[in-house]
Amino acid sequence: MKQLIKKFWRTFSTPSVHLSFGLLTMGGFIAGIIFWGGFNTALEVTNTEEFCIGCHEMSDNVYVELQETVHWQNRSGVRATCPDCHVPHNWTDKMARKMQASKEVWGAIFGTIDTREKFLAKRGELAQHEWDRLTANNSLECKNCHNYDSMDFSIMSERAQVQMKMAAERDQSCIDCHKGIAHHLPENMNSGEGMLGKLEEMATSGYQTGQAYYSVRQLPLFEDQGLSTEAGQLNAATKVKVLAIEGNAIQVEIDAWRKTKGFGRVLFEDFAMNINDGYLTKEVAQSDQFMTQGESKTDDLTGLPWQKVNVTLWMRNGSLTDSRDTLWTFAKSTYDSSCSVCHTQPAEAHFDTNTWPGMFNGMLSFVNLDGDTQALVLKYLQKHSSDFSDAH
Amino acid sequence: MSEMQQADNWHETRASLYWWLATLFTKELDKDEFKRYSSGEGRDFIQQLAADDELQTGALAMLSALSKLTVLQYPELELAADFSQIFLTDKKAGAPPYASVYRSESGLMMQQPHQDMVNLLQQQGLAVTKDFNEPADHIAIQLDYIGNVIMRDAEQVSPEQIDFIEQQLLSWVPEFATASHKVTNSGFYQGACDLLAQFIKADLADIKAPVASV
Amino acid sequence: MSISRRSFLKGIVATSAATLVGPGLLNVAKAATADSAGQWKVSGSHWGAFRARVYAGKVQEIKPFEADKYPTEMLNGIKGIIYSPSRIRYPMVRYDWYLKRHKSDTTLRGDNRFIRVTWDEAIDLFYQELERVQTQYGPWALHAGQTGWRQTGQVHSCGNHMERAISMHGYSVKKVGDYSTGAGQTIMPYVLGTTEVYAQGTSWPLILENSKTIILWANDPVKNLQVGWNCETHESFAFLEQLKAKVANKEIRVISVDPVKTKTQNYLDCEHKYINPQTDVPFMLAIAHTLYKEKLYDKKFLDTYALGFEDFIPYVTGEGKDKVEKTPEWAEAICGVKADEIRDFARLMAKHRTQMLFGWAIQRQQHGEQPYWMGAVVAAMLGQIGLPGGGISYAHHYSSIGVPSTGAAGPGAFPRNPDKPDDRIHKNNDFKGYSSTIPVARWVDAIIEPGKVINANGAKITLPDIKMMVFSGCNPWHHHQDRNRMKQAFHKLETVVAVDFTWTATCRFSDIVLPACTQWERNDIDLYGSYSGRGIIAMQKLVDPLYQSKTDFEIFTMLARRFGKEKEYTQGKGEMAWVKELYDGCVAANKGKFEMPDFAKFWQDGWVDFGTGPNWTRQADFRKDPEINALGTPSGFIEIFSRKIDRYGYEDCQGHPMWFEKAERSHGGPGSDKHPIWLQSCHPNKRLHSQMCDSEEFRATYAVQGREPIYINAGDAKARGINDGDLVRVYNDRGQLLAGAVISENFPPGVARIEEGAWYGPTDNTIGAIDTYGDPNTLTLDKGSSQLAQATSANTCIVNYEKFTGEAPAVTSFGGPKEMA
Repeated sequence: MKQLIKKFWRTFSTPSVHLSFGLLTMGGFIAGIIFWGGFNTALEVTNTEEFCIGCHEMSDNVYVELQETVHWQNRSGVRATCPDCHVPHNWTDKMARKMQASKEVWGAIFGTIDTREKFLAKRGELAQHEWDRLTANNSLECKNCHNYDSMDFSIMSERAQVQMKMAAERDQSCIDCHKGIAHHLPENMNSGEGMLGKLEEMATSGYQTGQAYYSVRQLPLFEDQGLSTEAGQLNAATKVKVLAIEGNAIQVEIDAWRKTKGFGRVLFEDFAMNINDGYLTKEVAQSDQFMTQGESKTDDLTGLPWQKVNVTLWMRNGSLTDSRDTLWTFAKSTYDSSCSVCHTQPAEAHFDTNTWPGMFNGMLSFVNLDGDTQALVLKYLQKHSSDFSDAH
Repeated sequence: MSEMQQADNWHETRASLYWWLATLFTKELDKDEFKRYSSGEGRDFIQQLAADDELQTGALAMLSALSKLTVLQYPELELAADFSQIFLTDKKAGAPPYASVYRSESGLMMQQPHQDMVNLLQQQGLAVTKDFNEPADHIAIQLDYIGNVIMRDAEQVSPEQIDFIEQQLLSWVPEFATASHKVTNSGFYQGACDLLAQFIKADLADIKAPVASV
Repeated sequence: MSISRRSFLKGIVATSAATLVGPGLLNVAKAATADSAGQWKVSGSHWGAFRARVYAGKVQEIKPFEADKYPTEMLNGIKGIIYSPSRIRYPMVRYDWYLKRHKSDTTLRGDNRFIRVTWDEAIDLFYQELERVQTQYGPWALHAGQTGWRQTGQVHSCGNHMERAISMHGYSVKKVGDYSTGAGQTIMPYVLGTTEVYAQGTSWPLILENSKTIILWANDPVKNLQVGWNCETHESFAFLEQLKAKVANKEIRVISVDPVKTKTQNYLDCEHKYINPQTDVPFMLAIAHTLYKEKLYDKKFLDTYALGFEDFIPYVTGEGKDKVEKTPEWAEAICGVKADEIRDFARLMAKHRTQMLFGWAIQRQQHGEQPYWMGAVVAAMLGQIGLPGGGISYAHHYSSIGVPSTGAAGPGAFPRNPDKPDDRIHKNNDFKGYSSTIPVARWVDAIIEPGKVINANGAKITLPDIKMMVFSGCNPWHHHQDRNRMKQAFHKLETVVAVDFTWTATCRFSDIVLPACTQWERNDIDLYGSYSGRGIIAMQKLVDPLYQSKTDFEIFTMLARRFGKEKEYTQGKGEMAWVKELYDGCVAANKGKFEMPDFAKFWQDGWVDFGTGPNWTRQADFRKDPEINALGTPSGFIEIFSRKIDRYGYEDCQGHPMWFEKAERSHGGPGSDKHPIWLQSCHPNKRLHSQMCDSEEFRATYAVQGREPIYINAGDAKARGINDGDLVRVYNDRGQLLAGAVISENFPPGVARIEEGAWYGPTDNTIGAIDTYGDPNTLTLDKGSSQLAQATSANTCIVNYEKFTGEAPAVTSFGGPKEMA
């Protein structure tokens, strides 16, 4: 049947923009009957993985990528086939999606994505379709199998627990965070959803050992090269020195200070300054394995004891930039526009470093910023506060 | 001139007088307009009006005001300040030129008299020009309107016309004129208000009474 | 009329009248099809959402929006705002200023005629003045940054329009803080890490479920929740109703600590703890003393979550510098609460889950930082911060705080800042040593004493030599203190521009007055529910702008046009394009969380409902993990002692909360022998500040002999021979006013209330002239709360009053400017 359909499509000389039912009306009566009947049957056939990977564009690109992920092979043996995620589960969506897919099939036939390079160039656009669709239906296809109510948060990592509980509370769309879960992400994520894309855009690549870089957003830290044991979280715009590069993992060194009241989990950029560099799990914070301790000092301003520390951990290879200025430019424009809706935003140097968190946190409910951007803007404000410039 | 001929353009005269008064209450006089009143045809006009028994008081007051004003450095500005002080304020301080203020129980703007004017204009297929944008019971709009009715009626004064002058104008203009005297300034507009009140009263009496022979 | 007379008149008219008759005022129009009853539209306001019936171009009827289950009676005053006789109908310029510009006789401000000008002329004058001030002086001479409660609507937010247009032209002096919470918002970041006053609080359901005791400390939510910053939903009232039932069933004890029996107390029928005015801190210090001495405080909580308790407690136990032990007996002598009652009160607070709810009026006094700080210290000692129904809140009376947030995003607003901040017509940003930002309530000080250096929140501020001020939807002749001092200041300003829709006293004291239209004469969009994020509401234009008024958008576009930046100012978009853009932005921000219809459907339906949100406890995350979820204080912990403030070395605000005697205080305090009455000027019950005072019919529902009511005690009245309904002259060394007496059992001896927002109307412009309507700020003190916040001190005010005899001067506050002289 596949061949028949392909043959039929080949006979039309001009593609219709509105492929949907254009195909039905073009051609003659007989063609119409065959096609219509064919279409319905085609609908069922196209609804199988076998059909999808019939075209090399799929089998050579995204099918291969899928096989590297947990949606292909995992502990429980439950896997997803192409239609499970990509064919909408409700009827009208199905039709609409099919129509669009026909365009892609069409595209294959007429050579718009028939080479790897062309496919890669178009990946962003194709991905965006799916992201938009999943966003619009609140990731319905994901939730056909993955159910918030059935999740056991207690066996998740600490960071995952925090994020997933928040997501569950809002019945958030899975695709918001889990892009790239089954196929590679587009090289250039400028069509990525919202802020995450914009932040990732600022990351550079090709890190060199011994050089310092800055995180573009909040990133998980790991104890091991295998990136399996969580060690904490790196904040946005934190300076790290790359010590080693091993494939998709890099070892970094963070030079920081911490308060020794409590568990000492939070890392700060400098003595007596509440500029958040990240935090460690209780285990890592209390262990000697990943940290060397330096001088201790008391901050007269608060009476709290501080300690210099040098922390060495692993993280994923990526999401670092060699220039903090690009981050600052982005943060400033976000600050200026988000924070001037109700009042003129205070000048950065209007407050000192340690006053900014209080001011900033109090205003967050009035703006729509995601966690990464919030962290970045706060750090920007602190690093341009009156402690670092001439107060006005 | 025969009686008929004389009668022929009597309605034009009436309409012109109503329209002239409308103009006075529409807005302040600019520099050129003021000149016409202080030394040109405007002054002549008022002077002549002063010869009429019924219009005398108002006209003389206006003339006296003009004399006082002309000696100032910016007479038209002074007069504009007078205009504002009397008309562009509220009823406690001055004399806002809207029927609602004098004819409604609350004394507020845009009450039933305003509604009546809106309905009337709508029925007649008329609307206030966008530039003026005043509530429809503004004196200038009422005077403008009645001038049009007079021209339309020509020498056959309609009951509608009499009705309007009596119910929509004479019902409040005398009180309006009295209110203008709350303010003490050059006296030009107080005189104009008095003249207006007297003219309407006289005009109504005239159109109601049968035409007397000479 | 005789024929001879007719021909006489004909003759005159024929010769002269022709040139004197101007163009007609009437056009031919299509006879409109009569709509039988009119059209219903949706709109919003600070008082709530409503549906309005518009017929024949007039707003005929207003009824509450169906989603609002507790509409306020103030909706009845809205028509009166639109059709108020105090509406500014045309652009007007003060006559003497028109003639002499910046060299005008400034002593005439407030008592001068105005002349009408065209819009073009008015904007030209405005622009010319901006040019003159920037070139002749510099950015330090222009102050265009004061804010008010504006009208609702995010596109036409008047402060945004003024700021954007003026910022595109040049630099100017800005302000920090506000009159509502100046002291509170400055001190709380040092103590609890955020302003606290503009933050969502523990959800009401959790308070109702968990609190055993609720302390309303100088707090009147039933009165204040009638209005909201955005379109108010009044959802809080459902919870207050539940609270009332729980009080009746004795499930929750509510105690109102207040000199006055508030509207809330009367509504809830709850307990009252009388306290002498301005003495809350001694009361709280004695509570702390009891908690400490009787070991009722939570030591573990303080060790884990707070810093500085050891540095503070000696002040309480008498081992501090002043060597005074803050016993309940010591406190009783000042605050009037019996020592044993103070002890019982402390024990009660420690016994069960106790929720403290503070109002804002308490920090609008001298040393207003102290009661808030001390409240936090008591809450910390109780150890319930971060527990549902425990701890302390400073805002449950404001804009639906306490109603759980849905988490939905609201529409943004017309941008306040220029798109290209460096690309101004006048690039000069040299303030010549003057500060470019001043504490909001110190602008009169700046005008009277330019160049003076003051301390403010750790910095030194050099007050700029202001020459020109611009006010947009802002009425400082309502909210600032000491009118006679303001008159002096206004003698020094060269030019004052005011944009508003009604003749407030600020407009009467200005030189150029530009008529904006009301929010119901334009299209807009607003968040429905402020902090609850309940929904989005369409503000469908009810009628076209009245008279010659224009939207703020148009007004400032015209200004921008003068310096060639119209396109940049509007971004090429008109009103509805902006409304749609804000809506679409909101849809995008809510994508995946809340489904919203497309703009056309939204505008037709009138609103989008986001439902209700989940319950939430303030500071619970801090309590759970104080390291990761550190507070925004310098240390990250609760600071009972603040080393940072201590280092400032301010006499009137030191390292920990303290009791400072006030400059003037009733009930045995300084000055009370001469002026024995404390004048409370809290937020009104039947207005939003000064908004709606000009609504004639509505004002008539509370005015007494046409004046603002003064609520007084029966015994005080009797001693002065005053009966209910009499005219009363209220006075102190700063000024005098006339008000109408209302004798009320809610008011104890030595206490009187005149609600703020009463329109100022002096008999003339001389210093000391009596105010004819009853504006309490004629009498209040213009002094910074302390060197920390430099905030307003309106409630530090003592007066005396007497029966007014003789001919009462007419009220001059309403209906526009008058020349009294």
